[in-house]
Amino acid sequence: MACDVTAEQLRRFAAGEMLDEQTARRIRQLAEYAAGEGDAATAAGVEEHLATCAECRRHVAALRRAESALAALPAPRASAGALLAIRRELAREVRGAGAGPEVMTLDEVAAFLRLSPGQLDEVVSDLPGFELAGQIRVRRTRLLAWIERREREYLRNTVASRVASALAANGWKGVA
Amino acid sequence: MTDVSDDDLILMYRKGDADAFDALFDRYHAAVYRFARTMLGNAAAAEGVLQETFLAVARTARRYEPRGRFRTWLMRIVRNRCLNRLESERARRRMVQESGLVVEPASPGPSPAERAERNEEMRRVRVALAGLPERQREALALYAFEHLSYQEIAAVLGAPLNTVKTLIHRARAGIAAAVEEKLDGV
Repeated sequence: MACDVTAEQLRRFAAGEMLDEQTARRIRQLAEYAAGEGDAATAAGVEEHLATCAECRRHVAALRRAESALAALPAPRASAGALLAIRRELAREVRGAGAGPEVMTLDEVAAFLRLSPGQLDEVVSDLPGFELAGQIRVRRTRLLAWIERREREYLRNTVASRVASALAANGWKGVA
Repeated sequence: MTDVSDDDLILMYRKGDADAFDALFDRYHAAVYRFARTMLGNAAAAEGVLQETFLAVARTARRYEPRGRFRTWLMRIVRNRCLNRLESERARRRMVQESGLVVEPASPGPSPAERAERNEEMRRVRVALAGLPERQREALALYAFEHLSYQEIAAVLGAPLNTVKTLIHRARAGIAAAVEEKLDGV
């Protein structure tokens, strides 16, 4: 059977130009067939046509190659630096000041710090809180700054103790 | 948290569990970035959209109805962000044109991954994809990269099912035409 679907018509179909109904339907069927879609009867009709039409066999081959090339395209990835910056920005949103009330109760502080109320008691005198009607309240931003200060102290202490033990291992004594 | 459903994660986040939000980010940032990059063609813009999208998720999580459609909801957000950017880019270009200034569009060189793409056919397909009309490109990206169903794509685009099918058929025909050119040695 002679076929009216030329490469030019494939391009015109892609560009959204008006084609006669039969040609447009044929191309749709070829596209569905190449993707393994559509019902069995239509697929059988397409196969019957393909048996006699080299032009459409080329189209189906091209559709399939396009499909597999699309699937094999390397996925673009955000750079590690950009991802890090985005994570930091998001953390500010979901963990920082935007994540809850600015003024926190001690229960909220304990939950935020993942401490039991008993454990919180051990550090409560060091917390940057204030008293209001006999209750202790803590501002979230002050709490975050307090955490950062403790982080720096912790880092200083671990570095100092590592330096001290490295020096001791090398026979140095009395260096604090 | 790998075996926790998207809906459960977002419900956990709503109750204040920031780790659940991180898990959603880990799960979907690559897909969001890829879609944005396919639509915008530019790494910096795609990174901007990635951040905006997840900030929107964080801020509007309460509006999400947990019915197992998180991915569709997410892709709708990223798609809207992309359309906004494309629209303001068009407006910018119109202004530049009207002002009579000639500004070369920023053309980022090929990324390392693209340079490594020695396969001529893949290069053609990538160029053809970038040259598709916006509506076809977004539909095809959701279909070929995100493996969404036609139904889900219709929900993301807010378009009738038949329109989505037509967009995808046209897009695939366009890419196939580019592949055929190569077969013809054009």
